[in-house]
Amino acid sequence: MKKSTEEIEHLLSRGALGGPERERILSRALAGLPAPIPWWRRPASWMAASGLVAATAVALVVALPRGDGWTAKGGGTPAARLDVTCLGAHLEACPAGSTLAFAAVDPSAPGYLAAYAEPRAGGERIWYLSADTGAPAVAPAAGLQPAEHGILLGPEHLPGPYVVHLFLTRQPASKASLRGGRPADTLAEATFSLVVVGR
Amino acid sequence: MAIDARASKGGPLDPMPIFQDSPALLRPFRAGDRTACERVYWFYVGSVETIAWAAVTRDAGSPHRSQARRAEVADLVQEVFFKAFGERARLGYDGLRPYAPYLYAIARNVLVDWARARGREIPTEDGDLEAALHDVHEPGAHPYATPDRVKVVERFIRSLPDDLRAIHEKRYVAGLSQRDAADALGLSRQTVRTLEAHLHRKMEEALRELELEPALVTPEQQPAPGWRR
Repeated sequence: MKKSTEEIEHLLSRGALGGPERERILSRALAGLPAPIPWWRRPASWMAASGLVAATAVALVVALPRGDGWTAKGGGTPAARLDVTCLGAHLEACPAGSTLAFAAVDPSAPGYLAAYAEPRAGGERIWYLSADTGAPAVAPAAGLQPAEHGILLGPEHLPGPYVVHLFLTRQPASKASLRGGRPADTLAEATFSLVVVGR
Repeated sequence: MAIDARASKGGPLDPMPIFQDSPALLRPFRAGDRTACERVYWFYVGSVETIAWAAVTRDAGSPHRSQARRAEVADLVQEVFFKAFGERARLGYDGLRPYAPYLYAIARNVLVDWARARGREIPTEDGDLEAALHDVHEPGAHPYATPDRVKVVERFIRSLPDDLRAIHEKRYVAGLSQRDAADALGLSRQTVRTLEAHLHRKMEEALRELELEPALVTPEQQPAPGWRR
């Protein structure tokens, strides 16, 4: 009989919580924090007007206004901080059909964003941004630099928890280079917990 | 963000007061910034876990760390930090006093409520539960499974190759986040994930072998009900 993840973790941690469970606790504990939604993050008419294509992780070309309304989070590096948000909702409860938006904060060097998600329960990696499908360019500038591409959470996203990996690289990162882990020319990277919920 | 593993594991009451050591952290923390809250969490989660375990095992009257009790501890730790990250608690902290006693007071309230809901009482005197933080235990010092399973797990851990042993140490003994484990080991997070998945598979295989053992017994040798290996 297949063992549950909880059972395996329980034994590996010899009854303690261990890192993986502590990470899940953190994710839930943070759910109560305020998540200010700037005006441009709210569901806007552009979502309807942009002709969202309900396909597998279709990249949306959206004209995200530049601004400093993002709250930077994720891994800090000298080159930039990275952020991702669920437009109109929260990453902790992002309804299917929502759009994920990506940004670099205070990038000090030009680069390209790359991103993918992995279901925490295991399963296929879901590609968001890569050289193969379009890696948005980011110019060095102060403040928030949102990507011109957002990602629609299509039917390939089953409800449940995911880990979103976001990179800023010097050259557009291909899926092949991302499969190998951290691309060699990575300027910044961050991971985020995403929980997709039903509409 | 590299976290001191000792702080993450629990131990001293407040070895290096986080807000005194990093005063710039106070403002974003009080504002509810997630990164600031994450830092606070990883700094104190080990201590809060230790206190929660002390309460749960005292309540049960047994040091056994069963899977059910572990789930209970996880719920309690979550509740403590959920409250600590609530607006009232964040704004109620002035940054002048050490944060640990403030957090432990929140933990004590959570544990008192939990005990009351079960019709029980736990000691509420200041410092009583926190005294558990001074106890030093080797990993696995508390019973956490049936003896045959413990034997398999301990044998499995001892047999791990260096790379998997390092992952086990950082993730399951030190309780570090995947990011901090990767930093500590000089690996990418993808590598840590891959090794961790490998560790899980091997652990599962080891347990499966344990469960398959009775299948080697012939029908004539089937033990009587109640027989234990």
